[in-house]
Amino acid sequence: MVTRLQLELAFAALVFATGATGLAGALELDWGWASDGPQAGFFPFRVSLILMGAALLVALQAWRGRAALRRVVVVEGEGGGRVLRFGLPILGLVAVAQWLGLYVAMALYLLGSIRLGGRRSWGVALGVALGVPLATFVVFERWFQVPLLKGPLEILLGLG
Amino acid sequence: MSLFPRAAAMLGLTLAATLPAAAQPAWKPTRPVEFIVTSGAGGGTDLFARTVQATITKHELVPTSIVVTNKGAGSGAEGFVYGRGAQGDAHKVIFGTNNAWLLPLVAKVAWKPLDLTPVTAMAFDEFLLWAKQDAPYQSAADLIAAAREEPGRLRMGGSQTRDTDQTLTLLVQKATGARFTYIPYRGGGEVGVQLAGGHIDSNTNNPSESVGGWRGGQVRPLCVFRREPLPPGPRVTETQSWSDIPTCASQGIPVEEFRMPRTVFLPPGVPAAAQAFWADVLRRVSETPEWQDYIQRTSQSAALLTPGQMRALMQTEEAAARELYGAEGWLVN
Amino acid sequence: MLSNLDALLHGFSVALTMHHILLMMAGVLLGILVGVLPGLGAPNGVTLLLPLTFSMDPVSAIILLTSLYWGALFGGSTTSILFNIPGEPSSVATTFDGYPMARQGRATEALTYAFLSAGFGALVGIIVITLLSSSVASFALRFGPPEYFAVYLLAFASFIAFGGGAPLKTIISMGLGFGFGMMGMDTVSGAMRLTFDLPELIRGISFLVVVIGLFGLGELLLTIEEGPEFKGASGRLSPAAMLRAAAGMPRYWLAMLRGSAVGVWMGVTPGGPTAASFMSYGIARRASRRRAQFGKGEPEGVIAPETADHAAGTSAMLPMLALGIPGSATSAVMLGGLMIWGLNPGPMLFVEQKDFVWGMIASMYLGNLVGVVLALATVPLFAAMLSVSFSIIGPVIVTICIVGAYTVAGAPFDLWLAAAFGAAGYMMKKLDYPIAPLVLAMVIGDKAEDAFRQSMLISNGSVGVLWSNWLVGSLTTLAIVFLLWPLAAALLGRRRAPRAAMAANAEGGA
Repeated sequence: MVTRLQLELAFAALVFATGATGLAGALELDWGWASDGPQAGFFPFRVSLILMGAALLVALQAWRGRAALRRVVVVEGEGGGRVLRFGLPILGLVAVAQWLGLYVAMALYLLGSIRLGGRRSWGVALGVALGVPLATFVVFERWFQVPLLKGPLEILLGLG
Repeated sequence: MSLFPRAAAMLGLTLAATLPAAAQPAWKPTRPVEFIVTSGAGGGTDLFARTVQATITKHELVPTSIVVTNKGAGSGAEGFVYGRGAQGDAHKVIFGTNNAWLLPLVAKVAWKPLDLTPVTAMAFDEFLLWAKQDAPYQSAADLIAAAREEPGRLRMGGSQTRDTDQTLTLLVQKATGARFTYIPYRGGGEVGVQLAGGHIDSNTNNPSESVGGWRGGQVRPLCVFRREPLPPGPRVTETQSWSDIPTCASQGIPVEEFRMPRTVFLPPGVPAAAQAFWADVLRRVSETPEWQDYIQRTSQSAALLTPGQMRALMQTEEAAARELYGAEGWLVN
Repeated sequence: MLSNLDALLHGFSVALTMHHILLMMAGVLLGILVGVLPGLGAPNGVTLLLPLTFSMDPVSAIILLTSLYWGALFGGSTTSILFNIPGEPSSVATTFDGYPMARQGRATEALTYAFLSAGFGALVGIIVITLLSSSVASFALRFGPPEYFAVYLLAFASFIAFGGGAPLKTIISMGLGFGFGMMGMDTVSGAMRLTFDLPELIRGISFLVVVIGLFGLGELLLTIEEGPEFKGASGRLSPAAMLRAAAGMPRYWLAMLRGSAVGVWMGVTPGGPTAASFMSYGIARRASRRRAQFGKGEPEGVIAPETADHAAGTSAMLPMLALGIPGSATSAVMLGGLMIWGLNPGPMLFVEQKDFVWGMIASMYLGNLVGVVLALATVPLFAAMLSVSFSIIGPVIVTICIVGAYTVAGAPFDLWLAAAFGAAGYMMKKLDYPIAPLVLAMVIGDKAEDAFRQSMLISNGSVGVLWSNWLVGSLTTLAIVFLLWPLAAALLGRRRAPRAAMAANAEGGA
């Protein structure tokens, strides 16, 4: 269970951190206005400051209204559980794709989330898990000649 | 009847294509090859790489398929960094210009020129000095005189910052004592239109970037940065062809020659046999009618450097650029 | 103008052959396919077909390529409406009301509105090209850096100023967009900005990866939270709903005309289709009597961006041919094609290559007609996808998003980015942060900054250059009026009815 107050503060902190990172990057550059106009860091510097300021104000606003915002539940247990069960496999897909390539990762992800997450029959899950990567391969690699991320398997098969 | 001689010619071509390869020490692609283009889709390097790809495919010079990917961000840095990372993989071929060795001087990037394995340079693109059609300057000398009179009033446009166009502007300024305000844009086509609209006073576009504007009476070339005038060819406008443009040196701008090579590299650490394989393939590409056609249509000068000549070119250009950029405070490495 | 009509008739005689009509259909179908898939776009389709065109005559070649472009523009709207995944950058604004309509079971209606209004916008764009071909080109020449900047500022002002949402959160969203847009190499100074010496950041953060994450993945997370099945997406396809929507189109004539005008303006000036669709949406929301319904499934919110998008897409062909300005990645590739066919874009093209130019313009009328018909014909196919259970279609959409994110730059790192932006999109929706300002700021932010700094190089750092002639002066002034509009409206409104305004604020903030 997550309350609106917690989420407001967390996101404001995220924005503040983004702004601070941007500020650090902007300070490596010339952030002034020279005779030929604004320099490379001029806008990054100011945008970063605005982000940090606005994030502080949002956090302040949220804190001032904390009594009310604490009672607003934005993510309740059951729905949040579904989000995690759907979202974490996406992270898995991305992670596996980095070393096994997109096709293998896609097949594993589809098989896992349709069979385990969706509780579909093995037949359906296997069909989709093999069919989608195959169709993707034909459309991207063969028709449009756009190479996707390959892993050891494709290289072994001489496709990568 | 007419089919037969063509088929025979094709057979001859394929034979000619396969025989020397058999004599080569063994390296040939075993899986799909990737051509890495260090410019966006539609850019000059893109056209170069795609012409090579189409020619190779048509004449079946490579046994596997070839895909072209555009990695043009950061003036091409994206593509070179990617190529640098593909250590030892001769299935990746990098297409670029002299930005391969000039960019690391002026921007913080993660490769050194000597990292990459040079293969060849297949053409040199020429640079011209352009003015608007109705500009008061009749010759390059007039333009330079005006730029000398009021330093900084005349605007010189070019693509990107600290890239070839601005380097050439620097050279012109150094050689003549004139001073321009340099305005960087995103690409040569845009720079040409900005000149036609009178938003800048001059630019140093390549022939293919401004030929449309010249024919349409929007801009006109003042001189070409070359030792000799361009070779004779068909007329471009009613009265003039490329060969009628005087050299800049003859117009009082002592910049003898400024050209941009169209280069091909392989990732670091590839076997010498692979380097030889690609050099050979590209040599055969350069002998096809398709390649001649491309060279003529884009008004470039054909070339075919050996890897050794490439290294020499890189060293001389880098040394000269280091001196020039150092004086301007451009060097970051 | 009359001579243009003559030329057009001649163009029809060139374009209207069986061979060309078949090419158009092939092009449009292929275009719809690349448009629908978020990872592929019109540039991929055009580069794929380019080698095929080397052996064609130039008229056939350009008909094939432009038809593919129209098809991609149509296809891009389909996934925007059905799954909240913009297939093309220019169809982001279509998601704002198109997706809510689909969630309410009105997918057919939304798609019909989108395709018909797109066809209408395209038609207006082509008519403008036909009648004004000579003056448009010379008008486009008047645009230097200050004018570019003013166009971007105006587009931005008309979208932001007329939007709703809490001001602070809008500012954050915009600021994030500007910040992400600035990463990578800076055009004006040549320096690497905000890359922290990480090679992965050299190319900056791609707008498409952000959109796939925020819209596509973020929306999937929200959907799954509400329940394991698509709600209201039962939207069975009935031909009756299609006909009803078609019959209802004339009611929106004003929105269509307004959208077309915005689109033509942005196509002829360097604004481009994506910014056009945002600007048109913003203006429609301001001008409409049904303002409160925007964002909740209002047909006008689909019609406005779609007309503008296509009007801009078609009218941008003119500066491309007459001046060689590539308005988009697609036209950049087409320009490369033109060179290979032995044609040089430029004013002489209209004089020397009448068959080519007018054949192409004539084919644009036909190609868009074919596009509307074929796009409508694919509606049943895509609507059928909605009836597949979410437990299957959900993961499939995820893979489409991930593949899409990879193809943008061929970088494994972008997959992590897309996932991160998916989570961010989910949180932003939960907290009522408006996402559109972030997207728009990313699209035009760095271009606007370049144009501004180029202007300052020209004027030696004097902002007065933004009022240096009537064109740039009126654009800048108009943009500033738009920007100050909400402030002025708030002040006036507060004086008149302080309580009502505060109540509205409280409501908007909740």
